[in-house]
Amino acid sequence: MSTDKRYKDLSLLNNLFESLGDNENMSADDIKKELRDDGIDLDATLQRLMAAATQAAADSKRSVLDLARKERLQQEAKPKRTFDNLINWSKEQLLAQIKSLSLEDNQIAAASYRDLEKLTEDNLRALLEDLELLRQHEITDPKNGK
Amino acid sequence: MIPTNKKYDSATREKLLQVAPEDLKEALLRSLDYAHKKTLFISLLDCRIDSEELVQEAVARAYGVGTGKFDKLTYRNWDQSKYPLLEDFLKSIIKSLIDHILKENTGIVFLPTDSDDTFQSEKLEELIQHSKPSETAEAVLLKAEEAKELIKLLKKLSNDDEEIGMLLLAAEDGYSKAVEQAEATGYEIKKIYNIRKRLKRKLDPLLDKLNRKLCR
Repeated sequence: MSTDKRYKDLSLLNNLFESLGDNENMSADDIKKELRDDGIDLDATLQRLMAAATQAAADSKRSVLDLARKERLQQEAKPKRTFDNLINWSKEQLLAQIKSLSLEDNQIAAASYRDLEKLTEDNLRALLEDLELLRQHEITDPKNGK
Repeated sequence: MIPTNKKYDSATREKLLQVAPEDLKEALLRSLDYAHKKTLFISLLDCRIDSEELVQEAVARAYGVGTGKFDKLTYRNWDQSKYPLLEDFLKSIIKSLIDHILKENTGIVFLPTDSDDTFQSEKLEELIQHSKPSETAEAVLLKAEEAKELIKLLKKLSNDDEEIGMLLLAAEDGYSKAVEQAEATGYEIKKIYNIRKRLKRKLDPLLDKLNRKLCR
């Protein structure tokens, strides 16, 4: 088969598959009807996809903290810690400090720990350090600007 | 352990979190439809792909927490100047996933549908020479044969139905969107969708006979 012929055939298949998937000008109702006609249990499938999206959002928020935690552990491995000033803070002070943070930081903390009150002082200190590192990371990384 | 990647732009997550639930649901519906219809016909090349799994992975990648199970990638940043709508962003991820799975499993490399001529000629050699190193010559030949058979069938359908022929000519010329195909053929957009439906009905009996292996 000549190069040109094969290229044309692949182009035909590629655009045909893309074209069969194209639904840009279709109404949501028409799309639903066609999917149901193809035997898809649409309500159940969409429910699973919405749940997967919710889970991905929660995992994503959690991953932000995981990244910050990695950085904290690297900081801790260094001879001098950045957050020595938190060592003498009481649990109440640590909790108050977390609650005084921005709404976004609080959402991230809440996404990771259902009940902050149940965390130990050490865990609260670590969480606060993670959030602080995260904030520093966002300030220094221009890609994270909103 | 949730995968993390420093290259993931947190602005993408913020944009996604701002999408209203009903808009998210509609984007998921349209992405599912795209993945379902596209993979349905790709199964004619002996490669069945689970469309729901594709959408789930696309959403996870958009949030920067993909499993990487298809091609080791776990995130995709959202360039809203290129993909203003969430559904377009998700479809672009799904398209990349399908192209990758197809390349890995059938040796077929598809070029981007919106690529320019320079890019196409540069990639042509890669397209012709590509084959999976682990695959036997027989397996490669068999897949090429299946693609050829499908092309033959499409040509036959073109001869039997002039309007399907026009649609396929438009596809061969690089048009995949209904608006573009309507312009290329001179048909109304509604008619394009009807021709697609007719084509789908003619290909459907083939799909029913197949029990394709799941490609990953």
